[in-house]
Amino acid sequence: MYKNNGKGNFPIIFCTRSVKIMKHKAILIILIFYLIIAIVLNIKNPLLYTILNSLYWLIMFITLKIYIKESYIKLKNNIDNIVIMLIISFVYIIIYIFMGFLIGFSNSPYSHQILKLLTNITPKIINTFGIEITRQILVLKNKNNKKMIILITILLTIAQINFNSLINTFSNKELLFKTICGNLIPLLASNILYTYLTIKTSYLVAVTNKLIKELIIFILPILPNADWFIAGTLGTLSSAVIYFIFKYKIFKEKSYKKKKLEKVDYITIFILLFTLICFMLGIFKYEPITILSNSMSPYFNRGDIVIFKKVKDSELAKMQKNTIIVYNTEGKNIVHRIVDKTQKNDNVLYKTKGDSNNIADIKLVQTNQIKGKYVFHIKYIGFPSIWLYEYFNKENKEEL
Amino acid sequence: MKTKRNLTITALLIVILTMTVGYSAFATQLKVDGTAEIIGEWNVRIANVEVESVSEGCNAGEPQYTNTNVTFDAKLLKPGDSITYLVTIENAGTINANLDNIIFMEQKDGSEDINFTTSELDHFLEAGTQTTLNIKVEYKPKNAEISTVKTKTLTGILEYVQK
Repeated sequence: MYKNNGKGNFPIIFCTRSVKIMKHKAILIILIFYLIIAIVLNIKNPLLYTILNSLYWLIMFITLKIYIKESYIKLKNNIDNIVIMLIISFVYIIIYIFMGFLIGFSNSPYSHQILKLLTNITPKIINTFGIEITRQILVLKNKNNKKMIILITILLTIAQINFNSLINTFSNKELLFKTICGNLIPLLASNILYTYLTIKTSYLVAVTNKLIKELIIFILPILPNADWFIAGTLGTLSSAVIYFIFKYKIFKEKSYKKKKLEKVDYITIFILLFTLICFMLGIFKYEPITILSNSMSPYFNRGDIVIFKKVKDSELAKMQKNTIIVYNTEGKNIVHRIVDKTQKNDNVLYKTKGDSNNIADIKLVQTNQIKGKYVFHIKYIGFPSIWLYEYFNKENKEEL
Repeated sequence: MKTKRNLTITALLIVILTMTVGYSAFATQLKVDGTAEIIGEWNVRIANVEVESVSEGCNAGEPQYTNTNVTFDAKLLKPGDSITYLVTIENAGTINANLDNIIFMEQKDGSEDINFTTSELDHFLEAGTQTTLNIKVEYKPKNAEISTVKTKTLTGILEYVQK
């Protein structure tokens, strides 16, 4: 029997801690082993993977919920944080749908029959709960160990990658670039956010955001016609905005004494980035285009960026000689000067020519091909896009 | 704290600007529907394009394809010549797909001497399976009046939805 010398209960605490550490190590090791098997299975048999993946996360969820009763999981302010996340997520959905009005909608490829809908959303719900409770158990035990936090975040990001689709992109570098930007970066950004939220509050806050974002795709009959650029930029930006809202507004990690300028600078950056995305997408009246050739030299050159103004339908037939227009032909945009204007039946046709070209363009430009007219240009800033374009074009040609 | 915040913002700026540069680079090419890129399990794509048959002396070119686009440049010499392309469409996702809509549009002001014929497609495309589409380009055997326009474009849209 121990005497009460201030150290009497040490062996009991030590044993409890050892058991807890072993539990966490076991969860981590099981996760790593599972991921290795899951990646192989995902590539070899995607249908079987979908079933087994949900089964694994269901077992993990039930096991962790029943057997590991972690007293240190913060419940304080949990409901408040879930409600805040609910509001933020719905604002995100409104912005997402609003984007559809600007860029167009396409039909959802998913069935809306109740049974099919349930088949689609059930694995998402199971996987989300399984992944997030695993994150909760693992990161809270290691919240002071940065390397472990990074490792856990990467492992749980890997757990959500569709390797079957990813491996198909390896043969085409352009597609791989789009997949990395459109899928993997936003996925990593959201996982960093969820790890942060889990450390600060509970896994339910992350679950709220994730479920709303993912399930809405199955529920809506039409979806914004979002390409990889919208998916990538909005996905990454939304995670960053939520991170900053929780960090500085909800958890108030920084002192109130900060200067006013510091307080607003990240909000300004988000607004500027969102404006840049909208500008690139052509949502505004003015749109940028990278110049690939020297056909308009010396007025503007290869590597410059031309800002053009969209033209109203009523103005399309009233363009004057010497106006520089942007028009689309065979899927490519050309920026050339109008040198002549003719009328055939009721249609106005424009003859165009590059300033440094010897002859005019072979095909006449119809009014429905015109996208806009030149406003001004910025020198050299289009070169990174050209290098990338040439790199991918070269790769594609080599593949063929 | 301030350094950490600046690092986060710098990382965000780099990521968004890289995507912007990439978008600007690819905007010079035809845009394709990106729905399949957002939803991982939905992956109906073009898996291969090959020349099935070609009349003597004709040039079938090298058909190019991405996951959602096929381009070929057929050069036919004389009336009666034809080239047949075989397009393989694969459901690489985990969801069964149904061909909801199929549209083929021939260029209105293209050559009247060029004729396109496409084969029937199975409407059901099970996850993990493939189907093929034949596209035959033909220089019409007999045509009283030879037109001056020698090219013609065929645009085909295959719209797959979840079964």
